[in-house]
Amino acid sequence: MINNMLKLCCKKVIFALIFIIGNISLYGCFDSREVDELAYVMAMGVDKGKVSDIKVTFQLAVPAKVGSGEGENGGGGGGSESTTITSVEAPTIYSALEMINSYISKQISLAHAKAIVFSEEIAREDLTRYIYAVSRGREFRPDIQVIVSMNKAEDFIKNVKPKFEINPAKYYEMLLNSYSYTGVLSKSPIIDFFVDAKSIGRDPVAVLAALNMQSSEDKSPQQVEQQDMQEQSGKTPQKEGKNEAENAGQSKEQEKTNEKNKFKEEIGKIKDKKMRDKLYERDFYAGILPRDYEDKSEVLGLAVFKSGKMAGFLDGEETIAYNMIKGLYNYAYMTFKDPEEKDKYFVLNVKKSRKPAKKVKIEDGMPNIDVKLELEADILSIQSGKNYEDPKKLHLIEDAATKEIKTFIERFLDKTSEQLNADICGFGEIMKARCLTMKQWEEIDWQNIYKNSKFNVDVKIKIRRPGLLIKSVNG
Amino acid sequence: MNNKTINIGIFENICMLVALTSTQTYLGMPRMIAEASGSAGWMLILYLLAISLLLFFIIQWLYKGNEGLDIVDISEKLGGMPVKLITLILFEAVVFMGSSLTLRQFAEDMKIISLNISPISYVTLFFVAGALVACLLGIEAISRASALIVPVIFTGFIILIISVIGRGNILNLAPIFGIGPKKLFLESLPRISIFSGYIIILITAPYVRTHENFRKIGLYGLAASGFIMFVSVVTYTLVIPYPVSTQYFLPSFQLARMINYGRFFQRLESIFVFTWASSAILYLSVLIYIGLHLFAKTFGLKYFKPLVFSFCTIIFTLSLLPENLPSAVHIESSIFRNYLFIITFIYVILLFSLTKVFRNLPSQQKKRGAKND
Repeated sequence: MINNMLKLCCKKVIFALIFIIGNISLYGCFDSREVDELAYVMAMGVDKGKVSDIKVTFQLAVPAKVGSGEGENGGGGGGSESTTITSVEAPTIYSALEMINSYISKQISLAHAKAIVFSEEIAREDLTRYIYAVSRGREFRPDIQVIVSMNKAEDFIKNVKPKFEINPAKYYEMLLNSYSYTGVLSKSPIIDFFVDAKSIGRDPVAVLAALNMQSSEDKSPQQVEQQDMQEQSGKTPQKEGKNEAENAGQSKEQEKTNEKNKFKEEIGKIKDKKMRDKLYERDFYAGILPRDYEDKSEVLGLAVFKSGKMAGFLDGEETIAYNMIKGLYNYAYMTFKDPEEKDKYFVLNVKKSRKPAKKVKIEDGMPNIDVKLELEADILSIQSGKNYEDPKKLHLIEDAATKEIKTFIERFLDKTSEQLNADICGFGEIMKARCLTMKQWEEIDWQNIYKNSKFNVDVKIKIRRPGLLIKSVNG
Repeated sequence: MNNKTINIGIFENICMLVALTSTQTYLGMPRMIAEASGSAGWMLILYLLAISLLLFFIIQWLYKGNEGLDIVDISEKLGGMPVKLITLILFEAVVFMGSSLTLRQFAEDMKIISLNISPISYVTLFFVAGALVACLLGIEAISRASALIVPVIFTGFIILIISVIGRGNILNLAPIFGIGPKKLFLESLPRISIFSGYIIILITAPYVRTHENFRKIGLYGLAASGFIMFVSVVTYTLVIPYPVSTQYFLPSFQLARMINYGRFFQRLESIFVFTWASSAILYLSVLIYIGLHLFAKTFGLKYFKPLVFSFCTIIFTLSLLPENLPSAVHIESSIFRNYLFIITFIYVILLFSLTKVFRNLPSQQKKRGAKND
């Protein structure tokens, strides 16, 4: 009887011990990482290094500032204060992460990183080695956006100064999602970049970014001098410091002038290319948008890659064409020249009507590609005041818009094939579907024959709504 | 092992079969299929399913007349202890290799996904502990647990598929014959091993009573497993095209990571980890139970529970033998899965055929009975 009771007790004790030990072990103490012990990277930049191979810049969230809504001007004025930026030179991205923890108290977490910015210099060399590393990492999300900066990635990140967002993660998300209502940008998650870079039927793109050449903090030379003196204070004797500050002020002025000249030069090039005296909203690319705003950073256009290397870039109009052909286009406001009064414009809200239809066949060893786009539009503005809303005249602006869109789509396709030799629209994938086996597909040698492609573009635009005014009356 | 009191329903059996076969979906199966077929994974799965259904149809036809007998009884009926021993050795090899490799891979999965600092032995121990408790509770408990957990896992799987299918591109299924019909239909034939999980009914046959039930469990179970595998392979290929599809170690996890619907519906993979862990424990429990049952029955042991600890210890130790994860994956995909069908399909058909041919011969049991008389 006593023996039985002892046995029962022993069983209960053993069961209780297993239960307690099991529970304690399952808390996961080994891998526990408290939220407040982590420093969250919002964006990461990769530049060429001087001491080591690359210079990695991290934009880290400052949770206390994000939470309290404290901004530059206090009371939620802006988001630039909610982040802190640091750069480190290292041979690889992961070694930079290792190094950064030697002077930052919190462990770095990439789980909330929204963008990875590569400088154009790095992108033109080879991006795949970094994309591989990021794709392998558990912490990097597959939807982190790949950005190529025309300037140094470090400079770009340092100049991101959101005014409407305190939460830096939300800023990047919203900014990079604007392609859905502008068309002059597109998405480029790292998973898509990785897949496209590995595929022989399509090539990847990345979001194009730059610092605006025109936009600058309008400081007087005295202010520049004063700021530079503050930076130099304590390092040099006063007199010497003054001279250096003067020199720095002059060099900044020189830099400004150079930038302005470069801006004028780029604008001239675009005017020649587009054959327009006055440029449209979609003619620009990142860096040359004619605007004035404190935040110098901007994203507009796409960087095109071939075999992992940046081959060139697309401006806003070409990006709209890319989005339309890829089926990523939703809607955008577009300006067109009035068919009857050449110095006036009409503006349409051009929307996707149907999915783009694409056909690819090979004739005499050359790809023959048919693209059919069906769009619809709403009238936003008719500057001439002519009654184009009249069903008998509506075809005039429909035809003008159709002709314009067809022209820029053809120009875009010719650029991707002849100039860049990069099938970013994925026509190769359509051709692949016509093959029975991978061997047949590989024998086509798509990567080399794409540059010889002939395109037949068919665009149809139907104007559906005239806005709140049903007709224009001259009077 | 008193069989008379145990009764396992058709649904429970189907769930155990599904647990044994579809667990691979959460491991590297979609990747292995992509390696074997290129973009034609869906076709390969349908082809292998058709062949496995055909083979099972033959097996169930050969089984007719042996109602109430499991594979050990049939081996004994054919050739007594020697055949029983051959069956035992072959099937124990399947159990030990299958369970240890799966155990190692699941533990490594967990290390990669979330417990990346914990030692591998520590993570492995939790899966072994779960399987150990299940085996101690016996086949009835395992079957009931399967009936409860498999629908939950299936629901999780369907949610995962629905969530990511929008990212798919139909063109990723091209070229239609992938790496070529010869490689697809001839060289990939050993991949039929992915449907080897049906062997559970060769063990639970005495509990399912009738031949009709035996047939139903096999056909429905294989069809359900085939459906799950087909859907998972198609989704994986649609979302991640070949050749990138051969690169991801954990296809299902990769798909789960891609779920992103606005700022609130993302990072949902941690929810799926729960279903994957349940699925792994269920798989190990069923497989280890098969090993225990065969061992105990072959040697006529009255109790099998004392063996549970030894079996689990051996499997735990074996799981740590591969030097690293790629070695474990290589052994599983290139060796184990390539030859598994020889035991689970060819040997079983051979055994059942010989039993059918020599059905008129007096069985070893009867001989022994006559001697005793």
